[in-house]
Amino acid sequence: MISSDVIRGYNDTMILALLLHGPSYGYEISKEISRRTDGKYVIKETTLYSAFNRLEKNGYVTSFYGTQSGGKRRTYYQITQMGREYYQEKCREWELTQQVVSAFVQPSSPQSEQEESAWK
Amino acid sequence: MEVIRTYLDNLFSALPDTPQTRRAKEELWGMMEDKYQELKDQGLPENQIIGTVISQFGNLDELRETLGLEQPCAVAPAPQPQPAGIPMSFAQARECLDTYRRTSRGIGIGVALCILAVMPLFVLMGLFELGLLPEGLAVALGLGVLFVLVAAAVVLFIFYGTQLSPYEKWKTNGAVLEQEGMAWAGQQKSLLSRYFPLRIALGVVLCILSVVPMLVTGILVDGAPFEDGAVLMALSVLFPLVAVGVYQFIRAGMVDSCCKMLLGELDTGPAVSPVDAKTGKKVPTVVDIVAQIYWPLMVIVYLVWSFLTWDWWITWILWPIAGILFGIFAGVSESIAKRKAYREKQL
Repeated sequence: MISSDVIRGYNDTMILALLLHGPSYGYEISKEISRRTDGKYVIKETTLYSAFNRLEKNGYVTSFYGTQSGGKRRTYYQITQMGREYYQEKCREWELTQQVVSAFVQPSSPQSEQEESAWK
Repeated sequence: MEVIRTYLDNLFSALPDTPQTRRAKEELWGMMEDKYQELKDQGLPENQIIGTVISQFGNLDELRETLGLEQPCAVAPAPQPQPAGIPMSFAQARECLDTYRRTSRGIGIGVALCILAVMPLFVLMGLFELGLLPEGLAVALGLGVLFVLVAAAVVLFIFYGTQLSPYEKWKTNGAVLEQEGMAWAGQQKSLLSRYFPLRIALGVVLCILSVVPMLVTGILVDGAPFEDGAVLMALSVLFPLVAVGVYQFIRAGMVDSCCKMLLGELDTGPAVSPVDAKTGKKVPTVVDIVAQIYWPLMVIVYLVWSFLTWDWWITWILWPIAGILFGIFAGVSESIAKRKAYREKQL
């Protein structure tokens, strides 16, 4: 179970990462997040919409209406130059955060423990 | 699909109608629609799709923040008086409805068993009348089955009765749900209320039909030597029909009253059955007090009358009469209490 408190700061980063490859719309992004994380993280609709709203307000994405062939009209989001810069910044921030937190948190891996005891 | 739309509409009905909220609703609807369509294409059953879409929707507080409606209470300080009742969380509400549905099945089966319990006795007596069975055996076997089935029903009543006891306080005082819970309960009610009239209608039809076999047989075999036996056999058909009918009433009634309770539509009021806020125990009403004296008194009257006159064949008539009188009294006094409470509220 993912704690939403921890992941909250990185919802925006995940969305921007997916938009790097081209414009996309709400459900496609939500689906891609679930797919990339093997369903370990399913973003809620309200969370996703809040993120879009925030990103747009900050000028990191722009939105436009688009219609897929034979599909319905959807709001597409496109990353801006500012968005790309923000994404790079968040990537660096994460690297640092990860280093700091990793200094204290050890992933529990029962397998390696078993190996260790086997060595002894 | 409709259900999801209703769910979203209900949720948004709590928010002010601005261009921002309208856009948010449209966007969220689009995403839900896409998800619904994809799950549908995967061939999942409708109710599972609805469950998934609603559970992955998120929550309204997050949206409030986004739309700049951070503190709805601070902006408009409690426009309506706090509804009376005990708060109930979303999880509790879900559990409550689940429990009620499960319990209505259990109690329905229990009542149906009680009704069915009488049937073997009639069948066996019919067989005796037809000369196929000795009377002693028929009565013994019939009563034996009757007691076993009633005992099973009592076990069901006790088991399911205790499951409902945690919800007693909401039932008597009314439940107050949060927005999400309300929206969900409303959606559940509209979903379940489709079955309500169907079940009631089925129950009524079954109860009416239940007397038909007996009437038809009575007319057909009138005067025949095996008339009594045939009528008894036909009469026994009445029980399974009534049992199924009553089962429908119980299922429909309990689920419906649970939905009403969750939505705060239940007829609760301090005048009818007040509950002490501290102890959670019921404060006895006039009806409760009278019942305490009335029923033991009736037992005494019944026994005295029966033993003095030895007219056991007719003294039972006391019970239906006493029951009807008490029903009238309880109904009238409850109405008076409600009226009084309403007047007091008006003043």
